[in-house]
Parts: sequence; structure tokens; C-alpha cells
Amino acid sequence: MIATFLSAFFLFLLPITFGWFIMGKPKFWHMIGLALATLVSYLIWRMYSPYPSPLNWDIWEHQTAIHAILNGNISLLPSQLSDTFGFNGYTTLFHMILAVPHYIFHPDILGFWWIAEVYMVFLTGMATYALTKAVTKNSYSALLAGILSAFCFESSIVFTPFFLMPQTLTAIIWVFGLSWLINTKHLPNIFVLFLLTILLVSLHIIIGGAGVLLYMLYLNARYIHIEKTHRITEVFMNTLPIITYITLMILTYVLPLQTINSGEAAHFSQTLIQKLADIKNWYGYFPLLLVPIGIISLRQSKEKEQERMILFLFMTILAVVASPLVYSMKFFVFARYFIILYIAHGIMYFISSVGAWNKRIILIALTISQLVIFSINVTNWQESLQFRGVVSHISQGEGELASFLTHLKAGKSTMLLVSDPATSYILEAITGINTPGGAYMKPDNRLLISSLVDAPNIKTAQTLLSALTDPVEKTPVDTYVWVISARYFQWLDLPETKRFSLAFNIWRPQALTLTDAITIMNIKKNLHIQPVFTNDSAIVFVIPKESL
Amino acid sequence: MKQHIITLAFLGITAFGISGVFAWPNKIESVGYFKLARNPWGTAIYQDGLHQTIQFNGFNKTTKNDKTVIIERNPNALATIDYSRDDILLDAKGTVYTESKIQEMEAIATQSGMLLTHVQTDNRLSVPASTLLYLINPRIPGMVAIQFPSHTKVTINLERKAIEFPAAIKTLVVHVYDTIPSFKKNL
Repeated sequence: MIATFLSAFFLFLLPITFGWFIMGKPKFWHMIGLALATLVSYLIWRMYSPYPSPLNWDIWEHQTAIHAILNGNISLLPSQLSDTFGFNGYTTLFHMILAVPHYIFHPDILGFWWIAEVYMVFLTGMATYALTKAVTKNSYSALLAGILSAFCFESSIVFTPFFLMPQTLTAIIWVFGLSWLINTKHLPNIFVLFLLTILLVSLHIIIGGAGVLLYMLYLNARYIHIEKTHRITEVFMNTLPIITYITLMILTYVLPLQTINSGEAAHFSQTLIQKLADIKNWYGYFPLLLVPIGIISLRQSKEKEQERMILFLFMTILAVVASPLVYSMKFFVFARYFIILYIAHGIMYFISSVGAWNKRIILIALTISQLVIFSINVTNWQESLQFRGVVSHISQGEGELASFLTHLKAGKSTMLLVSDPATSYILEAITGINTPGGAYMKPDNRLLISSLVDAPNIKTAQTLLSALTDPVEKTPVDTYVWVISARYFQWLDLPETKRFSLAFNIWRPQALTLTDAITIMNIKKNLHIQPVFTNDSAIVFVIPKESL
Repeated sequence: MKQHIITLAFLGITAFGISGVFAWPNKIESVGYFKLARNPWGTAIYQDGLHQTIQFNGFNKTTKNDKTVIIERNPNALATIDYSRDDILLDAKGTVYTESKIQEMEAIATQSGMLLTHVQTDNRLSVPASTLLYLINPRIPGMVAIQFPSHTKVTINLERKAIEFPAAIKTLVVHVYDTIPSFKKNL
């Protein structure tokens, strides 16, 4: 537990230190305020998923990449580390950074992510504070924004502030970077800017790349004031959001969706109404009134020029988010910081002109309403993962299964774990045993694995197992570990379109039923094999290659 | 005065802001791996799909702990338990009342360690039952045990797929299991 805590602490020590400087070395009690908000928000978030139950379904692929790095496989692209990655949206920098505390402290894997995500909420609050302070020059607006950040959970596609993953980390670094640029009185240090660019693009090629473009827009708007170009800059700033929206709309009709992320992209296309409904679930209707009030109040301040540039960036990001482009909602990972900034400043605008008692009434009303919105949002999101009173992707039974497989693997490196996509994805990350594709399993492998239960004899099962392919791991397999989990049966019961879809997985833990037990009895009878592990979540058969 | 107007205006904003979020999600009451719901006919125990429901008509929940629910009879309503077409109904002695598949009976026998025998009856409307019955749905993990007073003359209507109770019955004890336990142990 101590090693696990230290590993997460070590990971966030540097970003928190840098963040503290960029925040302008805030008062101690401001940091305490952010820490308390983090604590309350995380307690609500984790009310039904105690330590170390995971809730972030992306950790599995990242952990698999970390295992590969710790095993000495170094590569620039994650798809060269594991076939779990079908799309290279980022380099392996994120995984290399996370591999360092794993290498030093050997933490409990699930515990590491559970604790690291506490720091993630805190760091997100710090970034929100830094940006709000840089723009408004008001530390109370900044503190309010930082606290609000902990209670605004963007519960689809974005996943700030609870999920530690490349897109959310990139956005935090981008926000700190933008705060630094705003605070810089003269031209920013080109070397630091260059390093920041490399870091952002390496952490997430698309989000980081967009972030660098936004930096360029900001610097252009701020520093190009030559007489003739000034007017051009003005026109450019005023029209860019509209141009961006139209360009992306055209691009949507040109892009071949089925080729992006093996077709998964097609499932992440949302209408504007759907996006607005999501935003309403995250913030209620507060942005509709408080964002305009925040914008107007900033226009009246001394920071009018700065405000124009920030508004220009915000509108450009909103244009991307509102566009019909697939995954466009991912860019909300930037927009949320601006929305919270304006909401916080709008509230401060209100309460600055009232007395102490009225201030308290306003702040109590705000706290209660935001807690209600946050709790409903979290409860709705977690509802689909509830299993035996715990909200998580893995049950206690699957935890026992993972421990058994970790011991089974000890000293052997040529095993292949065979199960349904979700079970494979989760167990590969915890145990380090390779699977043919994890959740991003190719259709050929899905077909073979779904046919295994109907194998009439061991020979047919052996033929099916040996036909499984892994384009990355070329070491010949000597043992197949066939995990027949309750999820496996649920997956088999799915209609073919869902069973072969990358966008659908059985995320909720399951328990074996009587029907499953009958199928297992038939497998034992037909294949003449005995399980090496049994509990109410899964049964495991080991099929060595020499018996093939 | 101006201050109060501003405060009221903000409270108005708060009311408008939160109005986008309509209500708490329905609080689902759990008993073990099962869910518990009240409906106009009584109480239902189910898992994911309402098609795999055990419906306690004329009974309302009174007390509940982690795995056990005590339900009380509504004297004005007909008291029955409706089970599903696939459900397997057996008692602690291993008597199976429903017409179940041999493979299902074998699987229960393997897990429970109890030899099962099928009750032979020509009367599909009224099969007298033991005071402790177990309901197992092959597509749902675990099982449900229903216990009623020993003096109660309970019958199983195989055609209606219902356990029927006489007026004398006042309460039932319903216990749920996450898995099919060994019947060798004292359940």
C-alpha cells in the first residue's frame, strides 16, 4: 500500500510543483480549499467503488503498454507494443512516464490507478485555478473555478477530471501552458515553447496538435500588432470560429469513417442536440446564464484585451466541439476549463456587490445545486457498472481469477490468454499474459474464440486455438489459457453485429449461471479436460501446446 | 435593497441552472445479487430483465437485510408467487416440481451435491409443496429460497406457473443466494 501510494505521488510530484509556480504560488489556504474539494468529490465518485476497484476503462490498454515497456519493449507507437492498440492517437510517452514509478516502486496495479486518479482531480483543479487567475487576475474567481472543477464530471468521451489518460493529461498541460503564455509579459521563451509543443503532441497527437494550433492563434492575436496586419488579425479573429465550423462540416462528409480506429469512429458521431444534452447533464443549465455573465463581467475589467483573445480561443474550440466531426466532443477537454472559468467569474461578479450574509446564501445555494448535479451525474454514469453492491469493471471473483493467473504466469512468457474481448482486455493488463487483441480483437480472432465452446473434440479446439493471430507478439505460444468467464457467455449471447463490434463490450462484471454451468459440463465432456481454476465468475482450462 | 435583489436574482439562476437535471435516478433496492421492486400487484425480485422476474402477488416488503426479505400478506389481495417458464422449482429434499431439462437437473445436482427426483403427478393444478422451496432460473446466477409457515397448505399450479397460498398465510421469508450452494450444508 505504501509503495503504491508513493508510486502515484512520485508520478504527480513534478506536475504539481510546476503547476504551483504557474498558479502564481497561491496562498496556502487556497491549496487546502482545492484539496478539500478534491477529497469530497473523490469520496462521492468512489462511494460504491472502494479501493482498488477501477472505474476508468482505458487503464487496461495503458497498463498493457506499461507491461510491454517494463519487459524491455520500447517503441514510439503503442500499436507496436501491443495489438490492443488499433489506432495510434498518441505516442508511448504517456506509458513511458507511467512505467517509471512502476519500475521503481512495483505498485499494486489497480491500487496505483485508484490513487493516481485522486491526484488527477487535484491537478485538474490546479490547472483550472491557474487559467482563471491568469485571465481574470482574481484569485477568488480562480479558487472558485478550481473548486468547481472537482464537481464538474464530463461523463462521456471527455472524462475529466477523474480519468488519468493521454487526452485529459494533455489538456491539463495545455492549460498550464496557456496560463504561462498569458502570464508572460514579453515574448515567451522559444525553447520552453518548443519543449511544450513536443510534449503535447507526443502525449496526444490530435488533442496536443490542436492545443499547439491554439497556442499559435493566441500568440498571433497577442503579438502581431503591425499597423497593416492588425486589421487582418481582427477580421481573422472574428471569423475563425465560423470558418472552422464550416471547414469541419465539409470534412465530415469527406472522411471515410469506417477506416478510422477500425470503424470505431463511426460510433462517436453525435448530433448537436446530443452534445447539448450531455453538457446539460454535466452542468445543468448554469452555463446558459453564467457564461455570458462571466464574459460580460470580464469585458468590463482591466483585462479587456486579454479577455478578447481568450474569448476568441473559446469560441474556436466551441466551433470544433459543435461541428459534426467524429470525436469532436473530445475537444471539450479544452472547452471545460473556459466554461468553468466564465461560470466562476460570473458568480464572483454577482457576489462582489453583496454583503457577507447574502454572499453566504449565494454560495450555499450554489454548493448545494452543484453537489446535486454532480451526484446525479455520477450515479447515472455508474449505474450500468453495479454488481453485487460494488461499481467497477471487475468483481471480487475476477480479482481472485487475476491473482491465480498472475501466479500461473510466473516464469512463463509464452502463454496466450483466450477469452472474450472484455475479459481479455482486463486480464491482460493485470496479469501481463498476452491476448489476441484484447478489446480491439480482430474479427477473425473473435470468430475463432466464439466457436471454441462448440468444439466437438479436443482436436478441433486445438485447431481453433492455433489459428489465433497476434500481429505484434511473435514469440511462439506454448500454452493456451482458456478463460471461460461469465462475460464470455454474455458476449456469446450478443447479436453478431455487437459481438464483432469494437464499440460494444461487456463492461459490467457477471456471474456464471446454471446454463453456463451446463455448457461448461459439455466442454469438459467433449474435450476431456479438467479446469485448473473455478469460481462463480470464471473457469480456466490450460491447454499446453505439446498436446496439440 | 439592491443586495437582496441581486441575491434573489442569483437564487433564480440557481433554480434555473439545476432545473435541467430532472430527478435522482430511481433508487434500486438490492437484496444480494437480486433487485427488489414494488409494483401494483405486490413485490418483484429480478435481476436484469423484467422477463426473469419472480412476482410475489399480494405481498409487500416489510423488512430486509443483506440477503433476506420478509414480505407480508395484503389481506385484500390474492396471494400467489408467479415464476417464469424456465424456472426450476425444487425443495430441500431434492424434489423437483417443474418439468425441467435433464441437463439442468444434472447441473444443479453437481453444484448442490443433492440427488434430484422429479415429482410424479397427474394433477397439474394442485401439487402440495414443502414449506421451503427453491427457485432457480438457469439464465440468472444464484437462486431464491422461499420459506412459509409449516401449517400452510401451499399448492403449486403448474399450468399457471404459480405457487398459491391460502388466506391463512401472513408472512413469507425470502432468502437469496449468489450461487447455488451445497445442500449438504444446513441452508
